[in-house]
Amino acid sequence: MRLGRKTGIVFSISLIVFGLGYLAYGNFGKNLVYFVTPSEVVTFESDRYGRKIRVAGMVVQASLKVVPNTLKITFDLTDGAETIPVAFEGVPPDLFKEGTGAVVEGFWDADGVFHSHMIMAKHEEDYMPIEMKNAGMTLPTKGIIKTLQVK
Amino acid sequence: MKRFYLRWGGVLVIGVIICLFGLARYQREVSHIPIEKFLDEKPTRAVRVLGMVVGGSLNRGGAGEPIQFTLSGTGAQVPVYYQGEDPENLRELKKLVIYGRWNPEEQRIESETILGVPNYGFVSWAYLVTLIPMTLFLFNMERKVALLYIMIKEEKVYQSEESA
Amino acid sequence: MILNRFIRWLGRYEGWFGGGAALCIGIGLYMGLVTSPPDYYQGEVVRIMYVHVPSAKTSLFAYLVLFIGSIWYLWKRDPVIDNMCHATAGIALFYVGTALLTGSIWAKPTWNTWWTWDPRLTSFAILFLTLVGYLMLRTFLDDKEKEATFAAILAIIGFIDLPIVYFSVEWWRTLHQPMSMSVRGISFAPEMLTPLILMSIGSSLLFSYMLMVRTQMLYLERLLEAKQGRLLSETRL
Repeated sequence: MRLGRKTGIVFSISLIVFGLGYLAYGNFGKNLVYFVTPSEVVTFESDRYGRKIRVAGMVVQASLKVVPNTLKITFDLTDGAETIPVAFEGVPPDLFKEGTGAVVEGFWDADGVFHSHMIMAKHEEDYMPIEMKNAGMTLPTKGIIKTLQVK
Repeated sequence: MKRFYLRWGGVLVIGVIICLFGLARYQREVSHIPIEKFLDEKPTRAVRVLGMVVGGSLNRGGAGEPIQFTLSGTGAQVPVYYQGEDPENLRELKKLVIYGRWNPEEQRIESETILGVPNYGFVSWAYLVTLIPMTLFLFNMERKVALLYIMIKEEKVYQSEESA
Repeated sequence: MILNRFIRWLGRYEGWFGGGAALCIGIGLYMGLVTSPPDYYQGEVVRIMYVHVPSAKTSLFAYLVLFIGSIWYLWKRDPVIDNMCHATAGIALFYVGTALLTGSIWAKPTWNTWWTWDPRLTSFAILFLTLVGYLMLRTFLDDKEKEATFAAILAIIGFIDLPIVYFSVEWWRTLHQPMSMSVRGISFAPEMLTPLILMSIGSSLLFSYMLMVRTQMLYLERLLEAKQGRLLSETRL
């Protein structure tokens, strides 16, 4: 009984210390900048080419192109000021479409294209039924472009 | 203790009733069939069909004009003719649920509503992992309180006998 | 003490909290699962919101209760308040776990990932770890008074995380969407707002009810322990 409790104490303390340490130093500091914006990407120097980063932006209307018979798609990502082209290979999420927010994971390269294998859909904080949307109603939101500007 | 079990029985019954309502709504408004099954049966009433929009097949036409595209399942493909509100979720290489009926002359599905994949499994899991543990947690706590009261009472009786 | 009297007065209406919670959650579930419409963008998956948001909100509320209770304990040294804090932490851990799980289930179809180190998610995971640490700490020490004091101090330190969780979506760049009810207004359609509010009220009532039951449970456990201890010492004599 006594021994079991002591092992439990050591185990749980190390678990919590490890967990908090990992969060605090490994991830939290780095992830305060969870993603960068297209405006920041275009200013990248060559030393940041090929590094894994996340970029968030709005998918530009009518920019989404599917390469037939492959899983490749290309589209443009904008933050209102700058626009970057993205080449993606894989299955995009169901909620990914033109005119909505997306966070793409991948790397920026010298060819001026963002290469990605992973897309996450970022959506706005409004919730309404489809009939209301079709009727042209809007609800107050911060807007995708504005959420990107947060420092 | 009897009242305690009665109360929880009531909670259980209400839970089951809400579940049944949810299930009925799912059958009525969400459930869908794959393309293969649809092509086998070719039902005359409107049904919901699940499939993926084939890359490069989407032909939007002009504003207000019908949209045409090909929907594919695991092997079979079927052309879709859509006329209605500008669909919110239509994109190439995307899984969709088409609500429409089979047109035997044109050999295509005619649809007026396009829906996203409902992903209803996620919804049910989210509710299950919330409600079941929550209920068990509270049930156990209440039961323990009731038992503790009984135990303490007995303890007291024993003690008073000792001291007397 | 006026607060003690207030709590005792609340305790008399314990059943009302439980009944109210059952009513609100019952109607909320019915509306959330049956009558509320699917979202234009997320579709059916939006229904997860009706369990996720109330759990998340209630877990923050629960931690606030724990924080206030801890300060109060350090000030008054009332063992019943300590029982209440202990009970709150257990329930809060449950709510935080639920919010994390449902959030993860919601994130897969919506964002296309189960988990990501987004500031909101990370700070919420820290809240979870803090509560685990709190409950662990309470099992380590033999001295009840020491245990209560250390636990209260830990809870007060951990409170720093609460505003971080709450405002992270406004302060930093996150994948998690910003607040839907804020100074900007309410970004829910009325059909969706009603079940959400019902579930939120129900969830808070359920928390209050659970808190009463669990505080009683911990108090009775301690009482039984004390009684058995006394019996044991008597027989030894």
